[in-house]
Amino acid sequence: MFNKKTILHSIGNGTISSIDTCIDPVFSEKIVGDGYLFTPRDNNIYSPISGNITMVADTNHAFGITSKKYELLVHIGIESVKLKEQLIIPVVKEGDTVKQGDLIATIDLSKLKSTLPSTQTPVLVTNLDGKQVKLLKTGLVSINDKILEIK
Amino acid sequence: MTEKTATINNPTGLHARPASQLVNFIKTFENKVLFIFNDKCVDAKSLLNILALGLKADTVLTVRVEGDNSDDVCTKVCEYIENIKE
Repeated sequence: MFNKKTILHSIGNGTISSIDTCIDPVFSEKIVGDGYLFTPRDNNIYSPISGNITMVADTNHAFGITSKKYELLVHIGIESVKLKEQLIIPVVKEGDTVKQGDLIATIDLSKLKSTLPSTQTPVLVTNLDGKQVKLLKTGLVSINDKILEIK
Repeated sequence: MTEKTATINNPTGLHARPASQLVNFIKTFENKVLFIFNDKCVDAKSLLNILALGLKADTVLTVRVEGDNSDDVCTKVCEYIENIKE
């Protein structure tokens, strides 16, 4: 019962690296939370865990997902709060229930690449409260790969 | 319990970066801190709760602090919010 592990899956097909390598210090220094860094290779973003959508930013660039124990933030792109064009289209809204692997947003990857400093997408646990995370896989991943363990 | 209002002066609103720094600041107090905006009342020690309020530039929210030194803590939190700039 105790110390039960929680697994975060990949949010899509892309590349995983350590959160330390994020170009934005607010994420690399883990000010927001700890987790993994995803760089998309296609236009689909999926939920890394089963839970409820508790936040969709007005600018659609960030999603909050609350599981039984953890609050996650999926922040699509760097400096994406300043996006003026609709390059991220959410397919969920606040209050929706999602399963791991459900589509949460589609993105215009080629336009995001030319608009943003980076398409790096931090996937972060914002309420670890001392718990540790372990990166299980880096490099090329696909949607159902297990990426991060929380224990 | 103390309630005060604070204005978001940051042009890009209270998004991930400033909101995280704000939550980390609020977590330094033992008090219960609530943000009230648009009929929603949320625990301000949760980043997602704060982001879910969607606080844009020039909006005014109410900060409620419970517990010891609530007046002092409330003033500090409101000053922090109003001074967020990027």
